[in-house]
Amino acid sequence: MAEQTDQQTDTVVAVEALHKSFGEKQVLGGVDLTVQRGQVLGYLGPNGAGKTTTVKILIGMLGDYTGSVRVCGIDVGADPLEVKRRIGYVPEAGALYEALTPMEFLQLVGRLFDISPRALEAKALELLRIFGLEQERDQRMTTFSKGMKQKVLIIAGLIHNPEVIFLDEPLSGLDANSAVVVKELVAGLAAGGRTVFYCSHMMDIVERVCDRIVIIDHGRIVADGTFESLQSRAKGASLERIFTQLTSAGGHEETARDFLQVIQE
Amino acid sequence: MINAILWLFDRLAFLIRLAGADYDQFRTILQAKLTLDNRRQAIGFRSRRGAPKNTLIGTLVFYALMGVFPALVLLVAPSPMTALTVMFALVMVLIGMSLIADFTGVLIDTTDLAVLGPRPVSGRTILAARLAHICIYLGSLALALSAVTLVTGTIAYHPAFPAVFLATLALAVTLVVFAVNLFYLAALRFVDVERFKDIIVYFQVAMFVLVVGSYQVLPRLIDLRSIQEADISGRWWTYLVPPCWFAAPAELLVGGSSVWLWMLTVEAVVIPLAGLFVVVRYLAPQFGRSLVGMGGDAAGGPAGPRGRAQPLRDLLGGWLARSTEQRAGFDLVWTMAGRDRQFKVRVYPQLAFLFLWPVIILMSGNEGPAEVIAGLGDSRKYLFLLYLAAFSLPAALLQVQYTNEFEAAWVYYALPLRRPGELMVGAFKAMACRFAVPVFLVFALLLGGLIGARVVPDILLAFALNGVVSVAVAFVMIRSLPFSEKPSALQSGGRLGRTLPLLGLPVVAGGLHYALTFVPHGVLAAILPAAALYAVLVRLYARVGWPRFGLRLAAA
Repeated sequence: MAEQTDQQTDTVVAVEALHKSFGEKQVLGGVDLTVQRGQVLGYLGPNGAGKTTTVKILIGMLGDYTGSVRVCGIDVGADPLEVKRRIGYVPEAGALYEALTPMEFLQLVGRLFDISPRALEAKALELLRIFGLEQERDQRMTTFSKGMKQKVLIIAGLIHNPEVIFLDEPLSGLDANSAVVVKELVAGLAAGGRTVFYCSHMMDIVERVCDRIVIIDHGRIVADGTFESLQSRAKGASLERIFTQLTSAGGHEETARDFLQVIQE
Repeated sequence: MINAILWLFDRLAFLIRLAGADYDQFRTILQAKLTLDNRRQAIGFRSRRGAPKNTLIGTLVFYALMGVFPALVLLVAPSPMTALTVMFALVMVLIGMSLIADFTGVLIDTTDLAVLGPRPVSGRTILAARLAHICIYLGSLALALSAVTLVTGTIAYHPAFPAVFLATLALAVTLVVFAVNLFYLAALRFVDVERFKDIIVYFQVAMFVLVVGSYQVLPRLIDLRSIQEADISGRWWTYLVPPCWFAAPAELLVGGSSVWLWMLTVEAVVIPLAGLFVVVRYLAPQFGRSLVGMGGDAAGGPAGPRGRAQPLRDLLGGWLARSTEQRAGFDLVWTMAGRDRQFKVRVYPQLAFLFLWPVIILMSGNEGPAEVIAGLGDSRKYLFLLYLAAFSLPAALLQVQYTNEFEAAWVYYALPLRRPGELMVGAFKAMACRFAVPVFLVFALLLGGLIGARVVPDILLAFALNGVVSVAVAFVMIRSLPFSEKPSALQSGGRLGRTLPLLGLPVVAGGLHYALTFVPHGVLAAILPAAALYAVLVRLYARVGWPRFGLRLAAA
């Protein structure tokens, strides 16, 4: 991994002094972040820390921020459409039109990216087959399980071969086998020069999949580095330990004990 | 069907490109939306075999019947100009009403934001697709309304009348859509999103009342004879009244020709197209951005100190909803009704509508308002006011089933809830306390003041019968637990047509009451049986078990 960052130094994501507020409430209070091509960046933070907000700004879904945000060298605020053309997004617990079939949904998404219908059909069919959804390709997604929908969402986010991929809890609902496939997929994408922005709460996966970890809390970045560098700072602890040290006042055991006491009253 | 619509849009592709939208993306989105509508319908009926277009067809038939009156005007009026002005006024008012009451959800829909947001689609294209989607439905409503006019016009005027009329009809619908949109977009631009959501509720209610009110009141002011004699040619104000513009081309067709008519025709063509252009070109970019903020939770923000304690709810709930299940239903519906904006948008117009009726009663007939009030006690017209609550409550009750957060209904199935009917009774009582009873009390006090103590038995009987009718309707019509179904464009689009049969029950109850007033002490004697009937119905309703709601359990 270290070699890769040495040879490939072009910056794919560049965020400077990013602030974002919803009304009175400040969600991001000055985020600075650069991501290089080929990196797999794990983006961590407690609930409400500003993870999803950061991602939504990066992919051009949220405006009205202050600071500079460039993705693939393009200013997101100035030309969000061009950014959207080059990135892929797999949302957390993503919505999709459930009354459509997977094929129809992928055709909808693919056409919006201007992929030619024939290439699109072939690609969609092949990807569904790989994910084991061949039989269900022409069934409405209303009856699909969470994992099946997640597979469709992953295909929809990647079908146009994007340069930067934003994954928000991509393994949610997937069975162990599919999860392994997606993890391999992430590594393969990075090896092929794609950049992956991986948001998750699952520390063990982030630890294994990502070659750089950024932790955000209260709208600010509180840690940034490889797992090893974070570990050396925290004297050899696990990522989970590092995370809790950085983002809370501690006392988890008491919290759990209090909880148990109340339900047993 | 979908292919035919898309074929039509393919012919108009240049217009959509001109407005700055990407036509291929536009077509893709529109196709998906139409497909979704088709399927949603089938799901709503819970059967694949049944006719999938039922509700839409029902609504269309209803509108076609509404269109008979103006088509008759067309036969008595001296010129197409006058007759079609009336026709277009009707079409524009009804389309505007439908747009505000039924399609606001489609216009400011945030559910597809998650799908379209991360893709390279411009706000303009999304807006264009939404507008086209709405226009397709409004267009079919407009066509139904004018079906009879098309026939009579062709006979009375000119063989080429349908062509001219359909073209002007399309322009008229376009104008209505863009007038309403212009307001929404402008408001979204100047007011922040949270405030806009609040404002829009009240604005929708006000608009609805205005629109329906003018349609109810205006025909009473203008009788047919005056239309027959009316001559509006050359009047300056016709330049400001859109229905006049759209009537002008037909007048030209039958041989009229004047600078005035040509000017109006130019207005009819230029203004709607210019409106379309302006909205899509200049206001749309703001639109997408404003919408992002609207995707948030329905209530938005903390409930606040007032939201915490609800003394009125607790008082009424404690008094009326005795079992825990009833109380749960009562509290849920009471609180949600006060907070869920989507719910308010759907329910408030129905209630505001009630207060129009007294005006209509006062204005009907040949007497002046003062005489009507003086004669109120003898005429028995006042009975009508007492049954207004029964007209509105069922329609409002139907809305209790729907919410955008319908997934949350899983809690019902996870709970050890023995009798969902108890919950429904609680919900029913909450809606009645919140909406119907206050309305009833207003009218009851009004009548008590105007007529005096002798109206009290009438009020008591009406109160009991209102309850009977409302429970009966709830019993028959409500098939889902509170806030457990997703509201869809088509379901609400067909609302007017579907709730119409419900109006029959209050009429029967009111008629019975009216008949009893001729029996000595009839009203007095009927109060107790009516109250008993209400009590029995509520007991029965409370016993409704899971099988009735079980369909959804199986589907989930």
